[in-house]
Amino acid sequence: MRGNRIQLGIAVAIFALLASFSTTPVLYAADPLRIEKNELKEMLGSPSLVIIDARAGRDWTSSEFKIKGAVREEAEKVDQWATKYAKDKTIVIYCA
Amino acid sequence: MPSHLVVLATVLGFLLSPETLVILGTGLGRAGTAFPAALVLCLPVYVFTACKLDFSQAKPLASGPGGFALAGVAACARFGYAVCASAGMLASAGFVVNEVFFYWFPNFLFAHLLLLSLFVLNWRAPVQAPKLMPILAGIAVSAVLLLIGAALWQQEGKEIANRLDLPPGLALCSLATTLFVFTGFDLAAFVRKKNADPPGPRMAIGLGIGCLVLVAWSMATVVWVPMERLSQSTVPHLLAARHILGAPGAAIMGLAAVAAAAAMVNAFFLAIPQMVDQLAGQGSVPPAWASRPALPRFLLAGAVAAMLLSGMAGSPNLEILIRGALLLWILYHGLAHLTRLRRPAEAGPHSIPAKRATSLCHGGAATFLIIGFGAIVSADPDRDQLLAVMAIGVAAAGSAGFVLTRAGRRPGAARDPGALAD
Repeated sequence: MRGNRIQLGIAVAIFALLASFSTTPVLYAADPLRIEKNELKEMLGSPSLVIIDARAGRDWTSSEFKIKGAVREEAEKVDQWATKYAKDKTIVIYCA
Repeated sequence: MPSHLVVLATVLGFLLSPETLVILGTGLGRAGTAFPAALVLCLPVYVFTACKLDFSQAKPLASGPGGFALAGVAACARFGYAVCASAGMLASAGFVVNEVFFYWFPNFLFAHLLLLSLFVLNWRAPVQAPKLMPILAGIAVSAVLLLIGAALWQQEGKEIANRLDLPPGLALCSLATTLFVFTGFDLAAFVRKKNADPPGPRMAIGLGIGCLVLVAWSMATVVWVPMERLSQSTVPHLLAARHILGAPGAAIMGLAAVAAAAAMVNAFFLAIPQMVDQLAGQGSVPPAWASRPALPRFLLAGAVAAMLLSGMAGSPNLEILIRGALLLWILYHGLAHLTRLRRPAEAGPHSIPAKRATSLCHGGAATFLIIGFGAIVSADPDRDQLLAVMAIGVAAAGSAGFVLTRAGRRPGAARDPGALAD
């Protein structure tokens, strides 16, 4: 009985650990610039703002919504679309 | 809990899962009402498959290297789909909860919590876990029926869908994806109690009811949503529900999607020990694996959690893996019918004309499924990757089976890894 409880405890702990990792953002760039949602909300509608929706897989297909005015681009094809946007614009990319 | 109710609920849960509803909605967008018509056309093939092939029995299907290859196809399809589709459906359920119900709740946290809950339920209360199936499938069916009723009742806001002009070849290939809707229903054969009645008739009833509900939902959808929007949407079922009833419609469909996703993952947890047990009975895995039902469940939960953690849910590769597993499943059904064709003269009470008719039906079903398999593969935009994934998966599963059979063969175990019998 005690052994079973220990097994259950270990399993719950493993899943809790996995779940905590899953809510932690994974960053691949050294120091990416980040923007808070309220800050972005205030900028919406500005002609100097370009919002790029780079979600992929289920992050894209399972979601019903996108940020208003966002342009859909594929992250893997960044070389093809990176030059499309003027450098003087504020480009915000979201991927999850 | 009666075993036949669990079988029925599993088939219905499968047919109303978010995966199926997406395939249905996209197919409707591309092929219009021809898609539900094709569903009805496919139904007799799958009813025949359900009634004539007992998937959970351990009788040999083929001997020699062909048997290993076939067992590899079956194992790769079933286990591959269990892991990949679980990860996909849990991720989708997380998004539904986050976007429809609780904006503040992290979607991936919900996916992990649901996985953990179902795993613990199956591990600690294996007798209670099957009771969840009729409840979850009942919620999904009721929610979809409610939306169908609302679609019929409401008059304002209806749109007569315009037909999309697709090239005939592409439209035909879109119709072939109706096979995806039914494929995998035989998982229900592994959720029943051992030595219970043959699951074939219950699975056939489930296929019939599920098909009826899907056809009704299709008709409701095409009346309410323009086909162009359906074909472009990645969540056509939620789009249709919003068109029919607005935000409450999305909530009802969201409830159906989460319930069906939970039903499917629960079905995988219920089925996997019997799937391993079957392989052990054939000598394809060590017998010790079958004596510990918690082990395959733990491995499944771990594999799904690892997929979610590794970011596979956010990768287009997950869809390729899921499609690859489903295609292998279609191929397996087709090949299974072919093996029945090779043995029409087995001893039995049937008369010669009846045997010939059955053999003819097996031949027809095999042809239908294998042509469908070819049509879907040829039209897939990721055809090369898909073929590579299927080849690697079958080779890996076949090799693992071969090695494990040699390493763990026990006296008295069956020597052939195939798994079907009339």
